[in-house]
Amino acid sequence: MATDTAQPPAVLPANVSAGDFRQAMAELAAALGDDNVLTEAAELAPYRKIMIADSDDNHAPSATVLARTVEEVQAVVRVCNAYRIPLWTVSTGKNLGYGSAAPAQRGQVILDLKLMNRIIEVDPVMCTALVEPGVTYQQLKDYLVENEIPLWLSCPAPSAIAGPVGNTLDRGVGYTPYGEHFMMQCGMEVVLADGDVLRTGMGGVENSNTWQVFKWGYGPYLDGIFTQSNYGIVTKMGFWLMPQPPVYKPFAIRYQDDDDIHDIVETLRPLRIANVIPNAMVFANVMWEAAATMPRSKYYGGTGVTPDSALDAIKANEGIGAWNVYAALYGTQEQVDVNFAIIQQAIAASGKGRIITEEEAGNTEPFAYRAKLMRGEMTLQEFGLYRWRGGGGSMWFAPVAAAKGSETLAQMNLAKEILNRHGFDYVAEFVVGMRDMHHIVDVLFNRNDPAEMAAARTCFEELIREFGQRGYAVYRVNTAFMDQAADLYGPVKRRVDQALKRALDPNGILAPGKSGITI
Amino acid sequence: MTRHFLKPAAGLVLAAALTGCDQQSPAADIVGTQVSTGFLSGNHTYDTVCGQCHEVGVGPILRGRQLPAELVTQIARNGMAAMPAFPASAISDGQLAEVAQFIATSPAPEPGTVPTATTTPATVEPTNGN
Repeated sequence: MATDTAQPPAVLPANVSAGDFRQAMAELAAALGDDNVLTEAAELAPYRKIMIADSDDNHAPSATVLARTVEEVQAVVRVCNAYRIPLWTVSTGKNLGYGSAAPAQRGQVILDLKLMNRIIEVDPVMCTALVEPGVTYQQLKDYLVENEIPLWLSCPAPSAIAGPVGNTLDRGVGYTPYGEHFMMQCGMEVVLADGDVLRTGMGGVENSNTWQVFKWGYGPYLDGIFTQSNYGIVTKMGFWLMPQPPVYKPFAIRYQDDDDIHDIVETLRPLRIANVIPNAMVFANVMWEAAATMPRSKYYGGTGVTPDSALDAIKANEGIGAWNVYAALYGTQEQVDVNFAIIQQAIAASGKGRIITEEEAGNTEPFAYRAKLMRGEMTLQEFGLYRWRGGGGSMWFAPVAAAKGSETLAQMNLAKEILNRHGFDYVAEFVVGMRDMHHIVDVLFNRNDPAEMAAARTCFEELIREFGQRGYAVYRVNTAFMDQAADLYGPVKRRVDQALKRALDPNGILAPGKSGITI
Repeated sequence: MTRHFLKPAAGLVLAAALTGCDQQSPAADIVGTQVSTGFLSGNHTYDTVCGQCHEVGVGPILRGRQLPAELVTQIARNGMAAMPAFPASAISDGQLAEVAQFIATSPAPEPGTVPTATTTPATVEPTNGN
């Protein structure tokens, strides 16, 4: 921690004096240790790295504090309440394309929970886990392998370096049958703004052994209000793990034309709802597939939108479809065989699409990394998207779509028109939920080019607005657009969000601005 | 079968009695293992984190280029373009120095062992129907 009191802090939280800030940092250092209060520029540099189209300075932290225990988290909120210091909590800080580890507002103090990295319990009988926020998927995977526990994870694409607590709390998704992560979450421990520790669900019952097996508890179900919110600091989270199936059969289905997205949805939705296809399958477009596996320069050396001729060449030369379905079957050989036959019949009846099995694809990309994701294996292959145009700019535009062909077609055409008009590619996939689809578009741009930065920001604002006018809202958004996204959900929702905030965090110290919520 | 509590790993073992909480602590007998950062050694960190990009054709190959350890450290801490930044909470100074040394001194991978953007071959050509 910096000890030079002659120099004013380079960055201060809003409405906090330099004197109060220094005093607060001193008290935090007393509670956490000097080494766990970071105020030097070099120490804070990793927390300033963002990928979104906004100035780094708008998201510069004034300090970072590291807590290792629940008691230390309690001490942090006590001090921050006393000095009205705003806290921005991160777990592994790898919310890349959504704001990374940087705070929503300049000057907020980052509470980094990466050192709270205990895997507290894995129950191989009930197939549950209880972990702290700093645990990564890689760490948990290593533990399962080392201890020969036949359970599978469900992880998002940045698997190895991200963690289940942060991803679930931001309501992220994976690709296995447990891919809707919040649905598989069971029990939380939450440090509230006043320092009280709440255990949700069955966690408050003395001597209970059902904290990680029964989600609902008694009375109002509270876990949801601690996701995508700023009402508390989650210090433990339980969730369910998938038993390793005796047979795993990943497969792809390739489609030739952009408009085939309509028939893909109509053909596969009934199979998803009936659980014939049990996992969060993906429909990825040609640009996504190409970007994950090669630089754009392999087919196009220019700037702006990738021309159709380049995409046609990619499809012809690389064996990539206009749309590429990835799904998997899990179970006994008999179960897998029966369900695969049903899928084959449905595809044949639709008159479109070609099924590609693992035996055909071999160890080639992108099939290989998709097969890994659908069994919860670690892979960062999808980071290839970031080199498509280069320059490190990425913002995820993620509107929700009903799983209807007409809806996906409309969203695809609208997104493509807006993106192309601003000079950006439509790099997209649909991740299929139980009845919905997360339409995930990676707005890729060069952060080193001020004109592209400005265009990306304008484009993203227009995407949210134009989609919103048609009733399509994002399920999650980066830290520069949270207010705009919150507005889509209406004034009553915003008022209720604020009422909860005022009740649980009257000084507004916890992540002001998260999901557009302030006191 | 009993519940599977963690065995000690490389870090210190905590008997994490949560009795310091202000509230009642219904599961105060929880025990666990604290692995200091989740990473164990330079080699292990390279394999499980760096290598996930730099050994699969996503990021540039690092081994065999005699990259100065200082440069590796600087980029890991600050990030660069698509490369995320890793603070000391994710990898300590000592562990990062180990990784940087590993990268600086590792021989180049055997030709052909690190893929460079392989894709499903064009022979798997989509056709209508099945």
